[in-house]
Amino acid sequence: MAGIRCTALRKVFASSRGPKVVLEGVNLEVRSGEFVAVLGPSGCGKSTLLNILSGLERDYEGRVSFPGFAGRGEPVLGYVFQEPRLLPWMTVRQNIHFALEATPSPEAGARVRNWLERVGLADYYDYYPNQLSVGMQHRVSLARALILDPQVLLLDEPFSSLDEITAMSMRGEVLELWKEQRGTVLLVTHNPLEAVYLADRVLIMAANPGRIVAELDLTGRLPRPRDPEDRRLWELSRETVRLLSPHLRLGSAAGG
Amino acid sequence: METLPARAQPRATGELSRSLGLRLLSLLSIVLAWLLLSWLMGRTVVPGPLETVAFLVREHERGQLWLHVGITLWRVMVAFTITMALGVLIGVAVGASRTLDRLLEAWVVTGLAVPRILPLVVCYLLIGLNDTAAIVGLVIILVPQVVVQMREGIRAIDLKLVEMARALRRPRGQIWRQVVLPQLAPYLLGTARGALSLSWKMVVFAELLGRTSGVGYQINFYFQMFEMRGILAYGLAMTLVLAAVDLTMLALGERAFRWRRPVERVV
Repeated sequence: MAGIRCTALRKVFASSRGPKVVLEGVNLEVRSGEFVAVLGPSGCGKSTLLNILSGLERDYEGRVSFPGFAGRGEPVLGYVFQEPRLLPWMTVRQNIHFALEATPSPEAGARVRNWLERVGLADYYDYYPNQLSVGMQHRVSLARALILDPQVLLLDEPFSSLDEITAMSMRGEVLELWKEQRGTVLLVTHNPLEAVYLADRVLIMAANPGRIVAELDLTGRLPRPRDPEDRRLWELSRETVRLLSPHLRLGSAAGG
Repeated sequence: METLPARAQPRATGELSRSLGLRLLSLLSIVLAWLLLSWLMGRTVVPGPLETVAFLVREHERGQLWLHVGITLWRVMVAFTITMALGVLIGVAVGASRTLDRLLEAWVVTGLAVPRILPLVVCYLLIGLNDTAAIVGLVIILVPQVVVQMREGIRAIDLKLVEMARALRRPRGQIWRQVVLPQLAPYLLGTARGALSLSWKMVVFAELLGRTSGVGYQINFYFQMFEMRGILAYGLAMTLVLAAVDLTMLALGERAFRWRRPVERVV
C-alpha cells in the first residue's frame, strides 16, 4: 500500500509574459487506501499537481513521496485522464492490454478479459474506439488504468466530458471498483457535488497561484455507501463552495 | 416466384461493385481519349492503343522490353530506398528539433526551389556519365520533398497519447512502436507514394540525359528515329508497372488503416 505526501510544492511555468507561478506551497497528505478529492476552479493547477505526482512533470520545487510504500522505485500508478486517450488503431482489448506489456501473453489475455467483464464491455472487445460511445470509451480508459492494480490511482476530471446520467453511473462504478481494490485515490475535479459524493476528504484549491485553502473531512459526516440523491450531499457541496468563495477573484470588481 | 427487392441486397456488395464500375469507367475514358486523339491526329502521328501494345509485344519478343524496364526499375528502387531512408531520418529529426529545423531550413528550401533537372546535370558533370551520378542526382532531387512531409508528420503527432503512455510507464520501445509509428504511418505511406512517382519520372530524365540503357534511353532512341510507337510503348510499359506498385501500396495502406474508416457508433 502507499499514500501520497507533497511538501512545499512550487511550480513555475515560463510564458511570453514572464514566469507564471502555477502552484505555491502545496502541502497535502493522502493516507493509504483513502479517497481524496482536490476541488478547484479551472486553471488553479489541479492537473499540474497530478502531472507532478505521476512523474509526467519533473521540473518543480518541493518534495513528493509515497509513504507506506515498501518496494523499490515508485508504487504502481494508475492515471485516468479527462479524455479517454485511447489508441484509435487498437481494439478495446488491445487498448487495455497496452498498459500491461508490449507483446500479448495468455496470462495477460485472461486479465484483460476479466477487466472487460468488470466494466461491462465483454461483448465489445474487438471494437475500435471510434465505434463506441464516449461513456464506453471512458470505461475502457478506466479498465486500462485499473488492470495495473495500482497502489495509487490518479483521476483527472474523468467524468467532466460525460453527460450527467453517464457520469453518475461511472461514479458508482468507480466507487465499486475502489471498494474491491482499496487503493489510494486522488481525484481532481471542479464539480463540488462529485467531490463530496466520492471522497473521504475534499481539499479545496484556489487559483493564482494554485494552493490548498481549506479542507472538508466527510468521514464522520457522510457514511458509506452513499446515495447520490442524499440531501446532505447538496448541503456539503454548498459548504465547499462557501469555503472556496472568499478565495475566488472573478473579474476586476472582485479583484479590486 | 418472388424476387428480392433491390434494397434487400447487402449494402457493402452494392457499394463495392459501384466503386469498381466507376474505376473501370475512369480507365475506359483514358483509352477512349487515346483512341480519339489517334483518330484526330492520324495513326502514323499518334498510334492507337492496339498498335502500341503490338509494338510492346514485339519488343518483348526481341528480348529488349524487360531488359530496359528492369534496369529502370532497379534505378528507381535504389534511388527510392536511399531517398526514403535519408528523408525519413532527416524529416523526423527536424520535426522533433526546432534548432535542427532552422539549421537545415535553407537546405530544404533550396532543395525544393532548385530546377529538378539541375542536380542531375551537375552530378553527371562532377561524377561522370554513370549510375552513381544518376542515383546521387536523383536522391538530391527527392530528399527535400520527403523531409518536408515527414516533418509535418512528426508535428502532427498527438502528444496527449504519448503522455498517456508515459503515465502508464510504458517502455520507450513500446511507445515508439505502438503510439508514435501508427500516427506516422499514413504520412509515411503518402510520402512513399509521392517519392516513388517522382523518382520514376526523374529516372527517365536521368536515362534520357546520360545513360545507355533503361526506358528513358529507349524513349530517347525512338525519338531520334521519329518512331512514336516505341516512345508510347515504353511509356506505357513503365506506367503500368509503376501503377501496379502504387496500387499495391494503396491496398496495403487501406488494410493497415482500416481503423480510420468512418463507422457507425454502436451506442
